[in-house]
Amino acid sequence: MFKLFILIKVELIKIFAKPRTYIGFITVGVLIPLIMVLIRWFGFALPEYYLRQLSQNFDMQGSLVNGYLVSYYLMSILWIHFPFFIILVAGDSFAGEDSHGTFRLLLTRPVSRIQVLTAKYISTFIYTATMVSFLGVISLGSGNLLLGSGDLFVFDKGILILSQNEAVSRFLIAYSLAIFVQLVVASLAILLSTISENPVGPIVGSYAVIIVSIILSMIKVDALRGLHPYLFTSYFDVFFAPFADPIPWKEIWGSVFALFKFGVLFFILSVIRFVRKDITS
Amino acid sequence: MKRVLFLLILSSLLLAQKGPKEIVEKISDKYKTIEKMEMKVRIVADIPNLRMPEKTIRLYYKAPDSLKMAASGFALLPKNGILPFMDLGNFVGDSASFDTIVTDTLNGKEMWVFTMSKPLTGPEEHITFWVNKGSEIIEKITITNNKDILSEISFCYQNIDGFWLPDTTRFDFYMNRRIPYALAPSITNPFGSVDIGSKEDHFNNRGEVRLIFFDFRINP
Amino acid sequence: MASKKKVQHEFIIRTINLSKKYNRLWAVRNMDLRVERGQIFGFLGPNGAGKSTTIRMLMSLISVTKGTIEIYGMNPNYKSAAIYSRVGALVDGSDFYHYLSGYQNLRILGDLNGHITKSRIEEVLEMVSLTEKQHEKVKKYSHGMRQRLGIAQAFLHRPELVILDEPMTNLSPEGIRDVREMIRYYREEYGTTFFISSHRLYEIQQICTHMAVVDEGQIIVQGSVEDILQNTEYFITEIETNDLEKSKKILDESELAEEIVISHQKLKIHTTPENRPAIVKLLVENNIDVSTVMPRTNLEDYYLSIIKEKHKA
Repeated sequence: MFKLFILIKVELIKIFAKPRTYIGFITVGVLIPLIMVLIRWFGFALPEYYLRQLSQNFDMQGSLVNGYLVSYYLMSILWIHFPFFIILVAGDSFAGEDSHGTFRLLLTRPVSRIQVLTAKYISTFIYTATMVSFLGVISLGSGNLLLGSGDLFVFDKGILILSQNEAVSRFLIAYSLAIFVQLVVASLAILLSTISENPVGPIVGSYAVIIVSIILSMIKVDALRGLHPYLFTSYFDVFFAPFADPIPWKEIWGSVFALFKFGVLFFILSVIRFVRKDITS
Repeated sequence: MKRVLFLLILSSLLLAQKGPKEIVEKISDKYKTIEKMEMKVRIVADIPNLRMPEKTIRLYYKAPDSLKMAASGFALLPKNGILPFMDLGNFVGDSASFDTIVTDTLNGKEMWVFTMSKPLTGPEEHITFWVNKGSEIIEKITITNNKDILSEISFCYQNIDGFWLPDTTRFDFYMNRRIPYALAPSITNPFGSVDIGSKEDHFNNRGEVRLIFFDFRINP
Repeated sequence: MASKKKVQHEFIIRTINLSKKYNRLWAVRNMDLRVERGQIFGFLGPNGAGKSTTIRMLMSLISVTKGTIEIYGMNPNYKSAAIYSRVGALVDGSDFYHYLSGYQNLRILGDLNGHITKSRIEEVLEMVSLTEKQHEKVKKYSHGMRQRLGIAQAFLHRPELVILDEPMTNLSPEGIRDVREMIRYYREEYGTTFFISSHRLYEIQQICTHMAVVDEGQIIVQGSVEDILQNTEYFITEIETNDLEKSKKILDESELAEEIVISHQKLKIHTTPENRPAIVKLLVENNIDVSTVMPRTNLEDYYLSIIKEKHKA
């Protein structure tokens, strides 16, 4: 067990020493505040558009365009765009060592392959959780700083306005679920990374799998509906569920369990592949 | 029977002769001594395709017609009918023209009913007041255009320090189009799907907002 | 029964019928290796002979197609941590985490081996002359520096067995000499066993006590260097005297030596080790001043000859 902790520490040192790890942090750290600044300058007419029917009879006090609204809106990048930052690191975890020949150093130490794999999983998960949390902190932090706080305007069978306190707790649940979703993305990238000997393969491969799966999940053709439960991307939208009222816990747990099954499947396949893998590079 | 009917008509005509402006002025006079007033209002909205939390705000009134609000976050406050006596001052001006006054009953109580036409949000709108004959307070206001009812405000009062002040105000309104039925973003609807309804849905697009008043401070 | 067990445990490395097949090609076939404690075991063979494949199997980097491996009497499949905590290895050149410094690389590798102190890391870096460059990122290192760092990491945890795959690759002559001295020092000081593969025999022939020559995945010959060479023309004794011509004449007349050649101001004599004292005694009795007597093995010539013979066959 102690060895596993050492391995996790070593893997974290490696992850955070690589320049590619910071691509995601820099992009999020620059782009999100920039979006907030642009919205502060040019406005965001979304609530105004949806609530214009009320303007005849009501005065609307307090702005619904605030840090929470923009953060909610920006969560949609977690589907297609954000996984790239996760895949970039997770896809390199095994294939990178293989292509650079550093497995020869790592696996000739008194550690088992299962330990190495578990440590790589955990450290990649720590990176993933850090990255998603960073998105949350930057998004909510810069949003509140530049656009202020207030009630949260969301879509849920119409318009749902959540109080500020509710919004904070909903965001906490949503980002926790987003971490879980991205962990499954990381698991897929790690699986492909154990198969490939070059990090480009798993990065492109994982991204391709996600995009194709999302497209298949989106197509509302009867013939494909039967396929949807078997696509892990069909459960990707779980992090928007906490913004419903009441929170659909049953649906959320259902999606979490389905994602968990995919994560376990990817892990088992990774173990089978990595334990048998010949390190020839 | 004929005699009773004749007397009723006569009394109505006599009352009508009193004139809406006089009634309005009489109501306004009752509140003249209120220079400043603070109160808390809980706003409860029931609007199709819009759910929002109950919100308690603080209102600051300053005679004759200043009303300021302090609220955290977003609040929806009706443009008219928050303080009826203040609205009277706003509604009734030189440009207002009144229809004849009639008598009607509302919830078993006798009312003076008179309508004035004044551009509010459109040129065709008319405001009708129901004034309780006994207590001389406004019980209901409706705003209509030539075709439809746009909104209806019903008042329930409480007596604070000798003033009849609102206790609960119900604001019913009708929207031309409903608030869009927007679905949360999902993997099958990444951008949500929206149904904005049609004008034919007008009477299905009725919303209701209740204002519950408390914690008054008159001339603090 | 007890003595049989004892004999088994004398082997630090033992393979039985060790074989590895890639697709249809046998890279290693029926290899029986035996390495005992304290040996410097040269694992020799041309490129593609199966040396690196064997080392990768010993280090569990690749699977075994057939046969068994025992290191310290244990099977690496079941006792990998127990085995590899006692083994240091440099497998097929050195690649490190380029984005970390030399020191950081050793730090993380040391952590995996157990508690390795800062002073120990500095000590091995000093041994391979990388002290000054220890905090530079490895991506700035030359090939030679990386190779030296690779050797340093193999010695980091003072292993009982060091497996080095082509350790002299990319090293300067001074670097090769330093590594040879390191190997000698560790063997003498700590009784470390070495298993060293090379295709360039001249680099390690001076230090090997035992060897196996492999070609096409099979062992051609295995044993102590002296045992293998002493009855061949490749085992010689070098003698320096004050009169080489006279010395040659005296020895030619005796029956102590089979062949005597004067080369590079030395007598090169083909004889058995038992005859060496008698040769010295004979020269001294004939008033010849003997300054040095040095047994020399011409392993490279032997190695080339047997490889040539195998290929002929």
